[in-house]
Amino acid sequence: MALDAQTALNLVYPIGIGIAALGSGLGLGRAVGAAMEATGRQPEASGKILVSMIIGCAFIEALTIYALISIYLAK
Amino acid sequence: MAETTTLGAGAEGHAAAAVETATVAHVENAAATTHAASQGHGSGPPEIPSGLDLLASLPFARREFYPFDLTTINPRTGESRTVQVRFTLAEAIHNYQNQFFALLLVAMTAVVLGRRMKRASLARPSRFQALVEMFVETFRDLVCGVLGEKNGRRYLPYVGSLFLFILLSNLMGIVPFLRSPTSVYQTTFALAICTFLYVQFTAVRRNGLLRYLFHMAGEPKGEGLFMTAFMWVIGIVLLLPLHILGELIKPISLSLRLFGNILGEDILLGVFAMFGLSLVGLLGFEQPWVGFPLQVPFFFLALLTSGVQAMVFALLSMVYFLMVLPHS
Repeated sequence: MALDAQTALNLVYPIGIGIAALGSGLGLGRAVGAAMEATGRQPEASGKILVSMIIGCAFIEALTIYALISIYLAK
Repeated sequence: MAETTTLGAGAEGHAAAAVETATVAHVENAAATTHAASQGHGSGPPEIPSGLDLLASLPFARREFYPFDLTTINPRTGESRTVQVRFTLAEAIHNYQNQFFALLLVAMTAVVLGRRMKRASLARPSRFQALVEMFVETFRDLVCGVLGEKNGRRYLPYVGSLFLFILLSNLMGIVPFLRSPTSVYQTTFALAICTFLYVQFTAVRRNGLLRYLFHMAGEPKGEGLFMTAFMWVIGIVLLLPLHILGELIKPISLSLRLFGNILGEDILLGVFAMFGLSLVGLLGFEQPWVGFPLQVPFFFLALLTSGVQAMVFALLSMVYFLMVLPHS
């Protein structure tokens, strides 16, 4: 099997996406954990905390999406 | 290529699950022309075909429109090359369908809102007017909470329109025969460029061009002459390019975030629709154009993602405005 550029890319892309998903998982875990802790301290603010958490999660998720999009930009 | 064939039938499966009308001839046309159309520009990620894709699969769209020969003559060497230019209506529809849906959304919103606005009254608001007012008031509170009262009122029309357009565009991807215009990079890039230009224009207009550049260079101020010169050099050589790069990356990240999320949602729905079709084939039934609507549970995820991404885009635009307005 000849290892040309396209084959190498096809081999490496899933690993790249996996690493991006790993980072996103860590970041989201921290964000949601902090939100849960804050809700535990003050349950009546849970609505605001939820909204802030969702927005923060969208930012963290976007980084994984960039990795996913790079496939469609490269092919 | 078999994937796209079943995906052409997948439109019927999706439609049959929702609408329960499909004919075999239609399916064959859809399958054949999705196959042919995909050969034109390579197999992309699987998506559920929209109403315009079905329109492009009809026989009338496969006709070539006025094929002509284009002859170019190189004026220096005198050699001439002849190219046959031929395109089909199906390709044109396929290439421009997202812009069509964007235009459709804007036109419908303008028509509906415009007609209703003429009958708006303070004393006896109708239900639609109450709904719209509720939305506007909520968004106005949000914007004024971030930007302050005066600036918030000034930039509320832009941010509100942006949010509404992106929200409705994202939601159009879930409706059966429509496709979301934000699932192509062109639309989201245009939106991000609008925001970027408006923010830069606001920055220059409110602060003055020199003051803005001064701010981007890190506001070099030092105690003595040497410190001032040193800070100026550091500012112009290091900080100014860095800040300019940071400003340029903002529309790219905005557009890519929205585009990636919405395209990912569409692909998710498409993949599960295809999975539903292949499940029917696996269970031994013969009709390939009816499938289990396996993508229906993901409609809720798509609703959440659409709302959140619209909110994030509008909120980030607000934050960019906040960062360039004079801090008072």
